[in-house]
Amino acid sequence: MTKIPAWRRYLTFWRTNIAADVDDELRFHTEMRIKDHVARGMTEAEAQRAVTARLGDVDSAKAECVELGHVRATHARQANVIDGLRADVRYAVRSLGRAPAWTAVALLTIALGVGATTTVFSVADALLVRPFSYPNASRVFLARRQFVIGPNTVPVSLPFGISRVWRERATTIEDAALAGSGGQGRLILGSDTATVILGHIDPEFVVFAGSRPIVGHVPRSNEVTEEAGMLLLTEQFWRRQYGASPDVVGKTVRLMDNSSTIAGVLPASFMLPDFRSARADVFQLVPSGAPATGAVLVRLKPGVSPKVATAELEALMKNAQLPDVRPVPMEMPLRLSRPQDWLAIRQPLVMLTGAVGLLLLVACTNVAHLLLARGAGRQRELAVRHALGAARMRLVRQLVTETVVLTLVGGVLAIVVGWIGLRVLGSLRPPSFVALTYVSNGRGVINIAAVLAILSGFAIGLLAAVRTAHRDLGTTLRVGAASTARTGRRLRSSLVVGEVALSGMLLVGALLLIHTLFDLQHTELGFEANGVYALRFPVPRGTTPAAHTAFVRERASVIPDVSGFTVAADAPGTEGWTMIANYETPDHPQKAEAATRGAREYRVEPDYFSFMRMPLIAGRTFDEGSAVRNEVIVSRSLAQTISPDGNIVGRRIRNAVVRSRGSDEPWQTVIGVVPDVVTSLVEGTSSAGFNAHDHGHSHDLYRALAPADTIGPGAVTLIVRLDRGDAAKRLAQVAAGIQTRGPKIDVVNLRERIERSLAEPRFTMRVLVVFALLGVLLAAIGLFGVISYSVGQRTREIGVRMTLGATRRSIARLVVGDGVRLASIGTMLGLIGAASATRIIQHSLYGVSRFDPFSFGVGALLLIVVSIVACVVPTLRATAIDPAIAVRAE
Amino acid sequence: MADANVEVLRGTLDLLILKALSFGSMHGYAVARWIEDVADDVLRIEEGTLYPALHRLETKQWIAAEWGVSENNRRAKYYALTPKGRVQLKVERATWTRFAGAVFAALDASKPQAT
Repeated sequence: MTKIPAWRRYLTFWRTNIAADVDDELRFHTEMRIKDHVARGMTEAEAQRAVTARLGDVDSAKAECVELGHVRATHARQANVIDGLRADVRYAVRSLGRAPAWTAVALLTIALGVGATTTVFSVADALLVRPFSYPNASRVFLARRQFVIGPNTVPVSLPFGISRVWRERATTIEDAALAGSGGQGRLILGSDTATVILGHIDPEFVVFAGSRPIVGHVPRSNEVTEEAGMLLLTEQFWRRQYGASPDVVGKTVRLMDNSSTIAGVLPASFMLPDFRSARADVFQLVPSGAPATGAVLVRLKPGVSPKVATAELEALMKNAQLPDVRPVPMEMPLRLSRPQDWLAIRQPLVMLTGAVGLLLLVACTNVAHLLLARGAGRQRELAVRHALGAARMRLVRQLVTETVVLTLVGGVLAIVVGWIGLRVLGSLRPPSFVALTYVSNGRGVINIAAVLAILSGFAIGLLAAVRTAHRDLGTTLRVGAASTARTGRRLRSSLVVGEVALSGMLLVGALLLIHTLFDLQHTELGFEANGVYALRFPVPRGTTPAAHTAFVRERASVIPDVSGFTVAADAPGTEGWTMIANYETPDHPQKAEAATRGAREYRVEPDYFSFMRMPLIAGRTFDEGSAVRNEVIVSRSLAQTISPDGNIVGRRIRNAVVRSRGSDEPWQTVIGVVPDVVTSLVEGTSSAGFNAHDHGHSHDLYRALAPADTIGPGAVTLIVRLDRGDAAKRLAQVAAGIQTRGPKIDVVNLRERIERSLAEPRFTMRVLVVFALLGVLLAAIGLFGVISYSVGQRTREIGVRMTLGATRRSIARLVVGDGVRLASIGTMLGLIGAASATRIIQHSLYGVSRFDPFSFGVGALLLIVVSIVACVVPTLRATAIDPAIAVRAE
Repeated sequence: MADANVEVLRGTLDLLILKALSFGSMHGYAVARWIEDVADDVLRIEEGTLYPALHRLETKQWIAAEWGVSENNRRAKYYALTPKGRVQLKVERATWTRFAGAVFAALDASKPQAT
């Protein structure tokens, strides 16, 4: 019989003998009563009669008592279960508390594993899984037109009014609407001025998005005209700026010098189909036929394939003969895509989701390991308890409870880690990853962490608890732990090898990106960018560009501490003209359609090259007459493309694309060659949407700024080189002096602006580094777990070795050798894996080979070093074994 | 004598049981005897109602039961007041006092004035 408290035994008793007990209790009563009667002088028979008369309806009383007894028994059973659970939890907490270091490591593993996964899954969930909450979102597509230049696709605006044509005539779609983001603007309501992020939609889009205004109304399509502007505010902006006052609806405001009326307020859930722009504060309503650059969204009818719809929509677009923005003599096919497919970080996010999933698996395996390692040490404890009568189920339950307690606490920590992770991700976010601002960080994190923690708990529990308790506990007690040591050893080893391999892959990836960034930061820019600032002044109405240039020049000459300045139409790194270009020479005509890339065109003054410290590679620079003579200077790469033979100076060139459009494109004479100017350190698309530069190779064409340039630039850029760093502030004052009215002039530091292009790779690199370090940490914990376990198992063997004369040094070598052997196999596999997996990040490795020996070498070295460190504690434990005790131990 | 016996009302019985057990743990028969003794045999207990009442109170966890050995060395079920029962005794006592007071007040009242 097992030992249980007296009161529980009593309950067990009750459960089986409720009726008998009631009988007994009543019988006792009767006996006592009779005895009393007899004591008072009655005969036994008289007493019996008197008692029976008094008893009343005994049977129904008994029945009631028995029923109540059953009710109590049920309660007791429930209480028993709860009490047992409470005891298990108390036991689990106590036994975890007895090994604080072990518990800390296990909790850390769970918290980091689940936390990191939570962070990434939260992002993926918000951006990939359920991005837009439009009705029938699965049938919503973004219609875009694009043309293809070489490897790049360039989005082109759709013809004006196309959404109305589609909505009215297309049979394959249910609905079409126009929506797009629209930069910033200043909104003035009475004395209140706010800088707002704009969006523009047509009235139909509100219904399309399944939304309705919370205040006011959405004007009908025919109420919206170009002249009478209508605005819809977003709830967030309305609350923030106007304290949710319903009075603002119907008020007239000024937005960018036009007067508009606030028609209503849209709820916070209303969203543009665009993660790449910040959340809009104010939506401008545009008439359906408006020349808006937004995207057209269509909702296909059920069962219609995107391909069929594309064909119909394209045919309608061609036949409608609508005014078009950009008549380019190229095919511009229509494409339907899902709104979230345009997400810039989709690819890395999918990759990261996969990687982090594996990381979680590693974390679970680790905790299972740790439990196993601990379980090995507790074999005897469990065996003794089993022998003392604890049922096997009960032992399993206790181990499971321990795992559950561990996972729950770990899960709570994971919520904190996940939340911090999101915060960190948000703060590392490059400006271009606006999408990350759409990730909520409240309930979503908790839900995801909870689900992941529960799943991990199951995985860990299944891996560890069953294994530990499933052994023949009787055998363990008799022969000691040694006999069970071999079981699963191979499995554990292979898991640790896998962990090391995975972290190796992450590590190599991270190192490749670090190497790339290092290289990128030391790229030759083609000009001396230190201390160079650009200030762009729009040419005011009523002034010629030439006059304004002269004015800017005159003002600039009085700025103190300036080591020089020049005036140009634009500066590298700032916005400028990038042309679709294919240059031809008189003897080699080119086809416009063969254009494969863009060329950046600069208009500069003759002193530009000496000011920028760009050496002339060939030919000469501009002089005062260059503009009139149509002289141009080209960059080295452009020269190479136009005339591979190297003789470019003196040749006449022109852009075949511009010529084919029918405009009057004169021949231009190349008079010099200058270095390529790097305006973006990574491959990227310019604002016009196509490449003017690959890494370090840019197609630049310089024209001379004409003295009497009347058709020329709409702005004058002052480029200044300063001796002292703190001069930027003074420059801003100078800018304000030149530009007394209108918007504030930005002072752009060219080096900073060009290095801004590194924000995205830097972000990817940082994230990958964090995950790689996490992976390495987890692998180290895994290795630590396995080696500790094996040292525990081999205590007796080590004792024997020492008795037979093995030195501590040779024991240490034995243990560390074990760890390093596993780590080496893992590292090898990791490097092989990395060699193939780095294909995914290949396009982010500018110039660095994906088999970069530096990254692979350092990665391997780091893993081996870390694995040796992970073996330190188990080694110390092994060498501290006292042979006399160890040999006797079992 | 039988005429003088009053059927003890259910709620009153609960109160009397709780009061009996407030002196210490006792078995069912002792509870019956105590009630008879203090109430001078006016309130006679029917065994058919006492035991279901005891079991009901036990189910409510106002009293706890334990098997023990009686004065005459026989196995008997002993009841004792739980902390919860002790609180309940106070509550029931107050209720009863108020009820009785109200009844007495009604009985002593004079003829109502015609209005």
